Parts: sequence; C-alpha cells; structure tokens
Amino acid sequence: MPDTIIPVTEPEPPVPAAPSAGTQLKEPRWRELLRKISSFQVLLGAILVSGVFVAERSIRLDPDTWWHIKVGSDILATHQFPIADRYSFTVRGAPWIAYEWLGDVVMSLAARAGVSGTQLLLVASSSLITLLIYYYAWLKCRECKAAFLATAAVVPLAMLSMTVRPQLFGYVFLLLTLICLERFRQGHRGTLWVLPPVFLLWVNTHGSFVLGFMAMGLYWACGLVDFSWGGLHTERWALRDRIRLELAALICVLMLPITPYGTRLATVPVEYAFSLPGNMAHIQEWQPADFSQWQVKLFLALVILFVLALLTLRLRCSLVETAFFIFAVYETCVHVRFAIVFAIIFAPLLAGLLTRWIDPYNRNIDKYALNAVLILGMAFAWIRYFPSRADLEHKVAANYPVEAVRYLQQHPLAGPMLNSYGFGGYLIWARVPRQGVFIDGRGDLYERTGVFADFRRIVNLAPETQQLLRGYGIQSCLLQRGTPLATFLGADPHWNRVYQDDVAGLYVRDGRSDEGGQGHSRLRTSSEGLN
Amino acid sequence: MATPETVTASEQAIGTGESRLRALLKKCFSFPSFLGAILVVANFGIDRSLRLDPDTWWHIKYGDMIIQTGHWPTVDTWSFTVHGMPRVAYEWGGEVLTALAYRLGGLRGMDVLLITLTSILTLLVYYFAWLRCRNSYAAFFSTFVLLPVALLCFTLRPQLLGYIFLVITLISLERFRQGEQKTLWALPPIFLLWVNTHGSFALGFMVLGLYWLSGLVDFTSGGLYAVRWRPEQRLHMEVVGLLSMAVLPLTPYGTRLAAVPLNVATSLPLNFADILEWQPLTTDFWQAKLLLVLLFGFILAQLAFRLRYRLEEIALFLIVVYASFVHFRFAILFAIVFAPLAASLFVRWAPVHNPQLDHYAVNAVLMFAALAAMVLFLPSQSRLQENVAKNYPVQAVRYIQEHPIPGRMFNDYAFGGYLVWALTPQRKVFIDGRGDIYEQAGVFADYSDIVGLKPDTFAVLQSYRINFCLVSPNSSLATLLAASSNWQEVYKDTLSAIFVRQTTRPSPRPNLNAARKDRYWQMSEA
Repeated sequence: MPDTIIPVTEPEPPVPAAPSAGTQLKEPRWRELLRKISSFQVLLGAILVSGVFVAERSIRLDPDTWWHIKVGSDILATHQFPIADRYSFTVRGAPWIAYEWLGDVVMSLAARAGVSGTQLLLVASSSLITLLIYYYAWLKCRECKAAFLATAAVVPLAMLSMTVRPQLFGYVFLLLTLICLERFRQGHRGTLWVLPPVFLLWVNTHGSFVLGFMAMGLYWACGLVDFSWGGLHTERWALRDRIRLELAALICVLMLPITPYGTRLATVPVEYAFSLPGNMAHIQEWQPADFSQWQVKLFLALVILFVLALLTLRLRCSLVETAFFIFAVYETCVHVRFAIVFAIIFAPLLAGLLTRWIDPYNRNIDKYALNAVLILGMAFAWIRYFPSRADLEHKVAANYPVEAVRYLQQHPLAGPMLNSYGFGGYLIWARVPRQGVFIDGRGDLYERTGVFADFRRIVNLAPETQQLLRGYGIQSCLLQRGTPLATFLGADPHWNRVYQDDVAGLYVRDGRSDEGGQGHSRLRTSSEGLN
Repeated sequence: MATPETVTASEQAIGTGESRLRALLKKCFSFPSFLGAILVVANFGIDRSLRLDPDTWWHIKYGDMIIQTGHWPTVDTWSFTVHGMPRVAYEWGGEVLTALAYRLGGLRGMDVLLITLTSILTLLVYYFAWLRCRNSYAAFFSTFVLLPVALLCFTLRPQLLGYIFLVITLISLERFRQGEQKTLWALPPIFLLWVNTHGSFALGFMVLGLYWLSGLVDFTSGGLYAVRWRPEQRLHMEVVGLLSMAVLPLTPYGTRLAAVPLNVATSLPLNFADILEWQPLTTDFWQAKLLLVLLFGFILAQLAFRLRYRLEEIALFLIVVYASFVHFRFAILFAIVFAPLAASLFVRWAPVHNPQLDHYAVNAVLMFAALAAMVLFLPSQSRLQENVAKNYPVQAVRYIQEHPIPGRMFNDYAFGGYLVWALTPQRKVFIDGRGDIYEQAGVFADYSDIVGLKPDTFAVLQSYRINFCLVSPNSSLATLLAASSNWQEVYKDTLSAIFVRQTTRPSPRPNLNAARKDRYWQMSEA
C-alpha cells in the first residue's frame, strides 16, 4: 500500500474500445517507446532541464573543484591512491586519503576536455538531480504536472549546492536510494536490490552515503509499528518485506569496506561530524542558513506554506515523510549545505499538495508530435547555447588567480607562499607554487594539524600575525584583492606588491627585512600606502 | 481536554460573602500568582547582572539631556562626523525613564528597571497565554519554555517598553475577542505612550489591522477558522483604531515620530546588513535551535491532534516566524505570539488549578521570600561596575580624561554609546549606535571600510583628520595600527587600546575620492 499523502485525483478517462471484436490492434514497441519519449511528462522534464541549463550556463566552480580534479588526474596517472598529503608545504606528508576518489576521477576525466568538459559535467549532473527529484515527486503523487511545479519550486534551493564537486554525485545516489525505497514501499520489490551497487559506488564517491543509511533506517523504523494518530500514520511492514529491507541494508553495509582504503572511507562522515569544530564554525557551506539570501527566504516561505496547508487542508502525512521533513528543515537551518536535501525531501510533499488543484494528465489529449518538436528544439538550444570555451575561461579568470598564476610561472618565487583559502584548490591544480600551497579546501587535514587555526589568525590580523608569518617562513603571499591582510602587507615597507589584477595581489617579502624576526615591521601610511 | 479554570478566587470569595480586600489578597497569593512569581524569579536569575546593550548609554544621555534642559534635541551634538545633522530623540519616553532610573539609583537603579520591565513583560506573556487556554499550569509551562528565546532581546533599551505595549495590545484584543468590550479603550492611551517610546508601535497597528481583517469573514477550513465581528464590534475596533492613529502626532516632534518606522524599514540597507540585531537568526545560538524545536513541535501537534486556531492567531504566528528568522531581533515576538499557541496545546495534559486546594498563606510566604531573595541578591553597585568595566572601555575613558589627547577620535562602533555617555560634550565620537544618522551621512560606509581594512583605510582616517583611535586590541585595525610607524600605542587593556598618530611632519594631501575630498575640506574649514 502506498505510504503517501492521499492525492485528490480524478480517475483516468476510459480508453476507447477496440475498433472490432475480432482483431486486436497492438502498437509496435518502438512506437510505444516513441510515445513515451515524446509524452507531456517528458516535455515537462525537458523544461526543467532547460531551466537548470540556463541557471548553470555560467560555470559555477567551487574553490574545491580544482584540487578534486588534480587528485583524480594524479590517481589516473599514477594508478595509486594517495595516503599522505603532497600538495601543501604546511602539512606535507601528513596522513590524508582521497575519500572522494571516484568522484575525483570522474571530474578529472571530464576536465580532460578542458573547462567545457567540466561545465558539461556540471550541467549533466545538475539536470540528472533535477530529473530524479521530478521522478521522485511523481512517484509519490502520480501526477506529472504537480510533480513538475513542485520540482520547479524547490530547484532554486537545490542549486545552492550544485557546483562541480563529488557531493553532486552523492545527491544523485541519495535520490536513487529514496526512489528505490519508495518504489519498494509501493510494492516493487525488485527495486531494492539496486541499493547495494549504489552504496558501493557511493562510499567511494562521497561521505553522504550516511544519509542513505539514515533514509533506509528511517523507512525501516517507521514500518515497525502500525498507527494512525490524527493526520500522522504509518503502516507496518509485511514480515517478508521487512526481512528484504534488512537484508538489503546489511549487504549495503558489507559494501562499505570495498574501497581502496578498506574501512577508512566508512569512518570519514563520523570524523567530520565530531572532530572538525573549526571547519563547522568557519567554512561557509557549514554555516547556518543565511536568511538574507532569497533562496533561503524561499525555503522559509515553503515551510510556512506547508504549515498553513497542514492547518487548512488537514493533510495526512506518513511518519517517514514527517521525520524526513523535520530532519531536512532542521539541518538546512543549521547547515546551509543541506538545503538541497530539503529540496529533495519537500518536492514530493509539495507535489502531493498541489494535486488538489491541478487537473490530472490525460494521455488521450497529449500531442506527441508537438512535444517531440519542442523537446528536440530544447535539445538543440542546449547545444547551440552551450557556453563557449572562451566564455567559461573568462568566468574562471574573473574568480580565480589565473593571471597571477601565469605571472608566478614566469617569475618563480623562492620560499613558502601564503595563499587565500579560496585560491588553494586552483593553485594545486595549476601546480603553483612548486613547494605546495599554504592551505586549500581540505579543511579536515589543516584543522587536525593546527594550520587552519593559524591561517585564521593571520587573515583576521590577530596581534601575532607577523610572528606567524615569520614562523612559517612565508616569503610571499597571494591574496584576494581587498582583503585586510592585503591592506596590511600593502602598507608594510618590508613587503612589496609585485603583481595585482582585479582578482588577486602578490606580495613578496623584501630581502632586506629583519631576518632575526624581532620586533614589528613599521608600516607605510596613507601617502605611501595603497589607494 | 482539561476544563478551563473557571472558578476563580474572587468568585469563591463573593460566594462566601468575604470582603473585597480578602478576595484580592486571595487572588494575589493564589497558586497561579505563585507560578508567576516563579517566572519572575527565573527572569531575575538571568537578568540580575544588568545586561546592557551598547546603545543603552546614549539612550541615557538623551534622557538626561531632556530632563536637564527641558528641551527635546533636534540635531546631533555628540559626534564630529554628523555634528549638526537633524536627529530627533524618537525614543525619548523610554530614554527619560532610563535616565531617571540612573539618576535615582545609578547602575543599581538601571538593574532594578531592567528586572522590573522584563518581569512585567514575562508576566504579561504568562497572562496572555492563560487568556488563551485558561489553565495556569499550561500558561506557566509555555512561558517558561519560551523565556530563553525572549531573553535574546532582554537588554535595557526603550524597545523593552515597546514589547510591553505590544503584549498589552494583544491582551486587549484577545479580551475583546472574548467578549470584554471595554478593554479596547485602553489602546489609544497605550499608543500615545508607545509612539513616544519606541518605533515598534507600527507592530501594534499591524496586530490591530490583522484582528480587524480576520473578523471581516466567517469561514472554517480544516483547523483554521474565522469569526465575523458583529457590526458594533467592528465599529468599536475602527473607532479605537482611528483614535490610536489620532494620537500619533501628540509628540514633542509632531508627526515626525510616526514616520520613523517607515524610514528605518526602507532607507537603512547598511544597518540591516551589518548591525547584529538586524542580522538573520543564526542557529549558532542555542535559543534559535530551541525555536526550531518548538516549531517542529507545533507541526507535529497539528498532525497528531488536529488543533483549531483562529485566522488572526495563525496569520500573526506565521508572520512572526518569518520575521524572527530574517531579523533575529524579532525572536522575542515569536516568544510572545507562540506562548498562547503552545499553552493551548499543553492544556491537554495540564492539571486544572483548584482554588479550594490552594494554600494562600504558604504561597504568600514563598512569594515574599522570593522577593526578599531578589532584594538580597541584587548585585551591588561595585559588582555592576565591574560588569560594566568588563564590557565597556571604562579604563580607557579614564585614561583619556587623565591624559587629554588633542584632535579627533575614531572609535569602535560597540564603544560609541558608552563614549557618548562618558565623554560628551567635552569629546565627540566618530560613531555610535544611532545607525540611521550615520548611514544617511555616509559615515557608516566609511566606518565599515576602515574596520574592514579596505586599501584606503589610512586615507579615510586622514580624510576625517583622526588623531587617535580607541579600538578593540584584538581587532585587525589594532594590528594594522600597532605595526604602523605613524601610530603609537599609548594605552592597552584587555578590552581596548588607544593609538595616537605620531606625525612629525605635515602629511601630504591624501589621495581621496570626490566625496571624501568634499568632507575633508568641510572639516578643514570647520
């Protein structure tokens, strides 16, 4: 029995009777397939993909994208999986594993086609996530128009996390897991056996596999009892189904050690959750949701809408749906990176709500030819308007120190270099400087070794900034333009600004500066400083 | 569902022919009152250490100025950056009260005022919750649970009075809804006080408008329903609403105070972006997580119990949820509005108070003991002074007074209010918590550039002819100044540091943008 909000749908109109009693007209399979591909449901899916395409046209690169690509390409080149850091000078040799290695390899393969390949990967992954959300919503309400509208409403929230990183693949696996579990709940028992291979890929791709186990656990737990309490209800699993679910979960757990690092990848989420307070406090994606962003206001509006619907429409929700919803709302408020999880969880709830007011899809009035033309037209537009390599490279240059790196390649600098956090990944990918970066997005590594705390003190100009820079032997700094540290160094006569563009500035320590490290350097002020 | 507490002590007293005084005493020392006393004690425990906001000080200064001179200020006289610019004391009522408290009792007087106001607010919320569910246990529990959320905003500022007026407005409207027609006449005098105290009177009109609108229709939809006003009720509301609007110009500034909320809402984007209380609610605070948990509890309760609510209750609740998340200063509104809703839920499990089992004497003894304890444990003047010195640059101010430093002072925003109180009119500040005036003048943007260490930091400081800086010693600006050859650190403690410009030769004309050039030359000529 489906465990869903009860949609208000009208029964499908009766299929016209066969033309004569003696003969049965059976559509050829290819024709049936063609109808399916050019159905209205697929057209709606294509519209969603077009929306994602437009939003993602200008490549949205995360600072971490670059080191993921580098790690992946090194794995492909050496056929070895890293076990110690070799990309920085501050933590060189410290134990570190590529726990998203499979995602890194996929990204690296896409990046072989240059920035266009990376863009294609982004658009493809984002589109896949959107289509899976659409399908998941449809699975719950069986009404494509409601599923379409619900998906369109939540996609802006999902887009907060749609950048080129292995976590994108993690969300694909999450959706596959939820879809399998829902189909299983609806009686498609064979679907469950998709989960073990999904988890096998997942554990090697991204630490979000714990969300998959959490989802399975919730489904299982909510099916242990039978009750109906006002609008909250749950249905007990049939014994066989419960055993199937437990068996599938067990096999998924057995997949966890099947990684190049044995069981180490399985413990990464726990480590992240409990032993990285600095990252949780200071890295943007782990910050609480910022309610000044319009997407987060949209999230708030959707939650408020749901509360209103609960009151006025006396909705019935299953225990598992309610548990998912509360979890997703809480996690989104506490860590904005989970906004996509809310989008995934809420789309089916919203779709179920919308079916009350939307006319059901009627295949008898579907215009397959027109749909096909529109779908092909959209596909053509995706190809035609795919951003050019030059556009993408221009976008990268506007956000990353492309020209500064070129300068460094032409004028190599001796000695350790401090870099802005957001530049670290790009510098690793560009293999500049040779001795390695000061810091990059592998926050776990730097926090464990204390480098993260020192970095924060330096960029926040703590009183001991100068001592810290000397302590690390820093001879040059590549900094984002307009940052406090850039102002500080720009006014210090013992630092020379040797390069600056709209994105970054490069400061080099004067060779005549105090080598003993005693006392403060004296800064230039307004007439000599930067204006 | 538990039956409401309908047999009151006074009804009992009337029934047995007791005197009015005795009936009143029974009411005062009833168990529900005792629960109220527990809330007051809980509040005292948290507020006793005088939680001062940086803005408290300039509020006191305004109040003091009005008391001393008998005039209401119309221009700024405390800063050199916006000297002479139009600025009214639009919270003058609250400022005079705070100044009086300080005059009468110093810091202790302010502490007593803070505890009194927050206790009144807490008790009003308790009463408001009781009004909804008529069960003192449920009302007590819901208020107690929401107290930590309200505490985010419990600092000594005129807005505290604004919230008191808001709860009174809500109580009047609720009593009116319950059939007590005369209550509504309290609103015009409330609005008269309110408009002279704090700009939150706009919330009062919003609430009044919501109640009025919600009574224009009759419907039931699931758990939501609306009850149409009778024609005489609607007319009554409209007359009261008009009278409340008619009192808005009754201020020393005429209609200017009435326009303040609109100005604040529409023309201060930098304040909204940078000032802490206007920031979105962040779940770094545990109170924000509590707010989320309560919201989830509400959602689960709707699913499980199919509760029914009036349209205005839910509209107000949803507006307040949104507002609380977008600006954390409105979290207190969540506590105010949600308390009755939570109480209406808890009432299912709460016992009903039986006055016949009440131990009035025991309650009285305990309540007096609590009062005595509060008086006994009220922090001493010296203890409060220590607390102030931990949060405000008391020692640095003493240094400035003992070692007069010529020229203009740049100060941290958070110190501004205290410096206004401690140093003006002898010395003027760069900036303080009167964000509206500084944003209008462009000073707020310059301040942000300086503390954000933008590339033209030194040029901006020079454009204002700053001669010394009073800043936090751990700030990035302090690090910059400490390393500068043109600035010398002359004072430092754990809270503040003073850097003095050391120019021994005339500084060349700074390279400034056009706007700053104008300001530079204006100040040169001033």
